[in-house]
Amino acid sequence: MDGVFKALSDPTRRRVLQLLRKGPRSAGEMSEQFPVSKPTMSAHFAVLQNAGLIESEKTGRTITYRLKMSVLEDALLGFTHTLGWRMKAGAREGTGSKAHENSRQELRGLKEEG
Amino acid sequence: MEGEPITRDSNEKMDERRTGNSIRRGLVFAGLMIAVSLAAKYLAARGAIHSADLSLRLVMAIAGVFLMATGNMIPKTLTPLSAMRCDAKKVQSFQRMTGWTWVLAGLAVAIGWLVLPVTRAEQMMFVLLPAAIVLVAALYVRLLRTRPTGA
Repeated sequence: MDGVFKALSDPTRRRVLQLLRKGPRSAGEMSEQFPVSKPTMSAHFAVLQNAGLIESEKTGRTITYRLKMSVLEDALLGFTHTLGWRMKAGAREGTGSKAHENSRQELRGLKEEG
Repeated sequence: MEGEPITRDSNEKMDERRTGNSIRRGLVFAGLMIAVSLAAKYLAARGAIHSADLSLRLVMAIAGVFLMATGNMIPKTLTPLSAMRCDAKKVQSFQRMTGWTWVLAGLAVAIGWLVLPVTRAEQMMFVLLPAAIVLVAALYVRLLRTRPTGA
């Protein structure tokens, strides 16, 4: 459950989950929606996959991501959204917000580990 | 972009794990229902508790929790996209709706059996569960009518 809370703590990852609620999307489609580099998006996807919230499937050269959230996890995501943790603002701004700074530090840590 | 997409082997392992988990969950809840029922009957026979229908209430509340636990995991049960015969978006939407329906129905059943008079709880259950089943069946029929459009 720690992994789930960690994954949901980041606004970009919450925005990824919200987009995937509408249906499966390719990695390219997903990364177009965010003003961050591909390696950064990859690291976000890895965190979400490790938490068991999304799943990826490779078809040819395309990787498709889709939601793999239980009802409880879905409710948690809705709850964090309702609390207004600046989800949309965080995903659009890309820089400047404290949440994004924390996110970048976390991803830097992940890259160093990996 | 991302390093570890699922393969056929990992799908099979996930299926095995999922089957094992659902069997384990079923056995745990069945055992719990029997144990709680026996314990309540035993305590009632010893005069420790004075409610004649406590055993029934507890068993039905556990059944409601079982519905919730089952519904909670429905959206996590994924079919490989390549094996899907329906639109992936609609399958996901169907699974989410089904999961939420079972969780809310289970929650209502569990709470109803704990707080309502027994006759009212029975009435509520006999309305709520068939309604949930009809809703899920209708969603399933609608899903079967769609054609695959890719991911």
